[in-house]
Amino acid sequence: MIARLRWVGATVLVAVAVVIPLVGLAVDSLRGSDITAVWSRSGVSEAVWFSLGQGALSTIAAVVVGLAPAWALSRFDLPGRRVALTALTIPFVLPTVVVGAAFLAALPDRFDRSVLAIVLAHVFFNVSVVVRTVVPAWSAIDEYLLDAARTLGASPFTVARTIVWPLLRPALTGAAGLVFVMCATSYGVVRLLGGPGRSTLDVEIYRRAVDLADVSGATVLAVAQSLVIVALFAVWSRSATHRTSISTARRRRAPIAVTAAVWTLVASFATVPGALVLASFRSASGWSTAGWRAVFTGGDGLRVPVDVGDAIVNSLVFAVLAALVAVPFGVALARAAVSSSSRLADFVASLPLGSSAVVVGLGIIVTYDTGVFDVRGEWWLVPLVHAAVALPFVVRAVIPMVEAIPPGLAQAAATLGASPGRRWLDIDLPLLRPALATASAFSLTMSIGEFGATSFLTRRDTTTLPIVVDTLLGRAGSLPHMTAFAVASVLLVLTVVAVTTVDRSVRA
Amino acid sequence: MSRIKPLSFTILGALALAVTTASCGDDSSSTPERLVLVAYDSFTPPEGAFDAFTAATGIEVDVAVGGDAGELVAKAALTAGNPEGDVLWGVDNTLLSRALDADVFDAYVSNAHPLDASLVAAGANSVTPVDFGDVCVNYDIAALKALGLPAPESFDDLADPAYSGLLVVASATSSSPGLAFLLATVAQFGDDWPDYWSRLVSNDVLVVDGWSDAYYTAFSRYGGDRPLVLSYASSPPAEVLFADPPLPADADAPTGVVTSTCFRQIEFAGVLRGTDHVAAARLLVDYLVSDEFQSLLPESLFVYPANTATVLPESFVRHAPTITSPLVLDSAVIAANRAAWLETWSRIALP
Repeated sequence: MIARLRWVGATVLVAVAVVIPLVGLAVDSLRGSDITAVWSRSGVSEAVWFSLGQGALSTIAAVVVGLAPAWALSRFDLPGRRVALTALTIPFVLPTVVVGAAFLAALPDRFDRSVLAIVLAHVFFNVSVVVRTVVPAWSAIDEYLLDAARTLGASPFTVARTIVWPLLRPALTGAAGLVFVMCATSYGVVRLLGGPGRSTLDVEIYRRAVDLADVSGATVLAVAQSLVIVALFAVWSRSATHRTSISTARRRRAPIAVTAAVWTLVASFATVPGALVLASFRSASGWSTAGWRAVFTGGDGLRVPVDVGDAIVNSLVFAVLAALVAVPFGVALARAAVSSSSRLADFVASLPLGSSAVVVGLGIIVTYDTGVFDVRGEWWLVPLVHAAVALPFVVRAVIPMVEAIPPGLAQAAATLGASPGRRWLDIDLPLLRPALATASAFSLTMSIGEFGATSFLTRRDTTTLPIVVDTLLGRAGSLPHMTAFAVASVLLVLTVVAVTTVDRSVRA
Repeated sequence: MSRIKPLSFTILGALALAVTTASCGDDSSSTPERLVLVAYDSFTPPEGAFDAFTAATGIEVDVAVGGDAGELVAKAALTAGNPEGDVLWGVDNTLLSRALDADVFDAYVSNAHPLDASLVAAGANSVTPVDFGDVCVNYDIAALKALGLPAPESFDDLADPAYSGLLVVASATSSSPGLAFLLATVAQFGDDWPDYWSRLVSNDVLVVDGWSDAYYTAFSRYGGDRPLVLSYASSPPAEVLFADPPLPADADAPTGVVTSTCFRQIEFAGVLRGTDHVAAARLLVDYLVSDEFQSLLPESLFVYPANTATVLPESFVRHAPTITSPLVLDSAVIAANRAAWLETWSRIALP
C-alpha cells in the first residue's frame, strides 16, 4: 500500500490530464451527435486515408534514405563519424513547428502545401529513428561471418539475402513501425505544410473544432483517432522485438565515395535549419532585420494577439515547471515499475504515449468546462499537460538506470542506519544522475516544442513559441513570415541548448 | 517510506502557491481599469478610437485580435462561459447561429443609439448590430480592358467561357466572405446552386484560403493574374484612399463592383458570457454603436455604420456603389443548412 503511494502523484497527473479528458470526449461524442452522419461528411474518410497513405509513403522514404548512412556508419570508419551520427539524429528532438517552418523556408513556393513537402519533412525527422535503431544492429553483424560466406563463394546478393537481412530485420521492422506510427499521427508538420484535402486526423480535428466551430464533429473524430492509435501501437509493439546488441566495432576505413556520400547527406540535413535562419532575414524586397526586430520589440505592428517576448518567457517557465513535475513523478513510476515490476505503473506511464496530444487538448476543454471545474483559462493547465506528455519519455529514460542499481546497496545502507532520505541522496541520486539529466532534457525539449495539446490550451497571455510560429505563418505578408522564421530559429536554438546543457552538466 | 515524497511535496506546494497567487491577481471589482475587446484580425480602427470611451468612463480598452471571423467564433464557442475577453466584435449573420447555439453571449442588446432596424437579429437578445457591408465580385478595370473584355454583369457572366480562368474567390469553409459568396449563389440559384458551382469550376475558378490571399496575392492589381476577385462593395473607395502613389480625391476608382453578385453581411457585437465586468462591458457595446465610433468605421474597416445618424464620408458617397437590393438569406435558413451546403460545396469546389 505504502509502495503504491510513491507514484500516486503520477497516477493523479495522468488521470487528470489524460484519462478524464478522453472519457469526457467519448461521453460527449456519444451524447452530442449522430456518429454515422459525421463519418459520411467529406473530409473525414479523406483524413483517415491521407493519414495512412502519407504515413506509408513517408515510412518507405525514411527507411530508404536512412539505410544508406546506417550501412556506411555501421561498416566503415570515416572522418567525423560521431559528428555525422549526432547530426543525423538531432532532428528527432526538434519541435515539429520548427521543422515545418524550416521546410516552408527551404522549399520553393510551389511546393508549399504539397504532399512532397510533408514527406520530405517526415524523412528529415525519422531518418534519425532508422539510423539510431539500425546502426547498432548492423554494427553487431560479425564481419568474419560475411567473410566466411564470401570465401565459400556466396555472391554479395546471397550474403545480403541470407545473412545480413535476417539479422537486420527485427531492427528494421521495429524502426519502420515506429516511423509509421509517428508519420500517420503527424500534426505540427501537416498543420504547417498541408492544405485543403491534405489533413491527418489530428489536423482535421483541430480544423473542425477551431476553424469550423464543429465541436461535436471534432469529438467523434477524436474518438476515432484514439482507436486508430491503439491499433497502430498494437501493430508496432508486435513488430518491435527489442534486442540490445553489442557492437563488434571492427570497422574498415571508408572509401572516399562513402565518406563523401555520408557528408553530403549531413550537409543537406544542415541546409534545412540553415534555410530557416536565412528566411528570417529575407523580405519580399531583399535582406532585412525587420523580423528579428519584431521579435525583440515584442511584435508591435504585427497585429498578432501575442507578445513574442512574453511567449519566450512562457515557453521557458512552462518547460521548467513541466520538468519539475514530470521528472520526479517519472522517477517514482520507474522505480515502482522496476521494484515491484508493477504492470499498473507501466500502464500508467504508457497512457500519454498512446493518446494523441491533440485529442487530449480538445478533451480538456470540452470536459473541464463547468462550475468550479472550469479551468479552461488557467495558466497552469499548459505545464501540467506538458508534464503528462513528457512522462512516458522520462520513465523510459530512467528505467534502465533504476534497473542497474544493485538492490543490495540500499539494504546495506539501511542496515548501517541510513535514513530513507539519506539513502536517496547518497546512493540513488548519484547513480541516477545521468538518467535524470537525460530525462530532464527530454522533458524540457518536449515542453518547449509541444504543439498538439497546446494549440487548444493557450490563451493570449499564456501563448508559447510554437503557437506564435503557427499564428504568424497564418498571416499574409512578408513581415509576419520573417518574424515566424525568426521565432522558429529561437525555438531551434532553445531546443539545442536545452539538450546540450543538460548533457554537459552530466559529464561535468 | 518513499524517498521522493518530500521532493514531490515541495513541488506540489510550490505549484499550489503559484496557483493561489495567480488567482488572487484576478480583478473581480465591477469597475475594471481595462476591458478586453476580442475581434477578428482585420479589425483596424484608427489610433485613439477608444479615447472618448476612456475619457467618459475611466476604462481603457485592449483590442485582442484572434484569427479570422470563423476562427473567432469557434474560439468563442470553445471558451463559452470562461471567455478570453469581455466584449466580442465581429460575428456576422452567416456565423451568428453558431455563436448563439454555443451560448457565447450574455443577454444584452444596446438601445443607446438609433440603429438600422433591418439589421437587428430577429430572435437574438444578446447581440447588437454594429456594421454591415456587401460581399461582391470586384474587377480590375485596366486588366479587363487589356484583355478586351467588358466588365461582367451577372453570375452567369462569371461562368461564361469568355471569362475562363479570371476569377479568384476565398474558400467558403475557411473565410467569411467566402461563405457569403456561397450563400449569394444559394440565394440566387436556390436548389440549383451546385450546378452553378460546377460551371464555375469548369470555368477554372481559383479557390484560396482567405480574402487577403485572394485580394493581395492572386488579384491582378497586386501582382496576380486574376482580374476578377471576391471582395466587398466598399473595396473601390479603399483602392482610392490607399493608392500608392496617391490618387487625387476626385479620381475614378481603379476597380469596379459586379453589383448583382452582392450578399449582405451584417456584423454584431455582444457581451461575452462569463465576464467579470458585465456593467462595464455593456457600456462598451453602447460606445461601439455611438456616432463617435461608428463614424470611424467606413474609412478604417470599409463597412457601413449601423447607426442611422452617422453620416457617410465623401469617399464612400463617391466611389462605393449603392447596393439597393443585395442578396439576403434568413439566418435561420443559413443555420439549418450551412453544414450540408459546405459539405456539398467542398466536394464540388475544393481540389
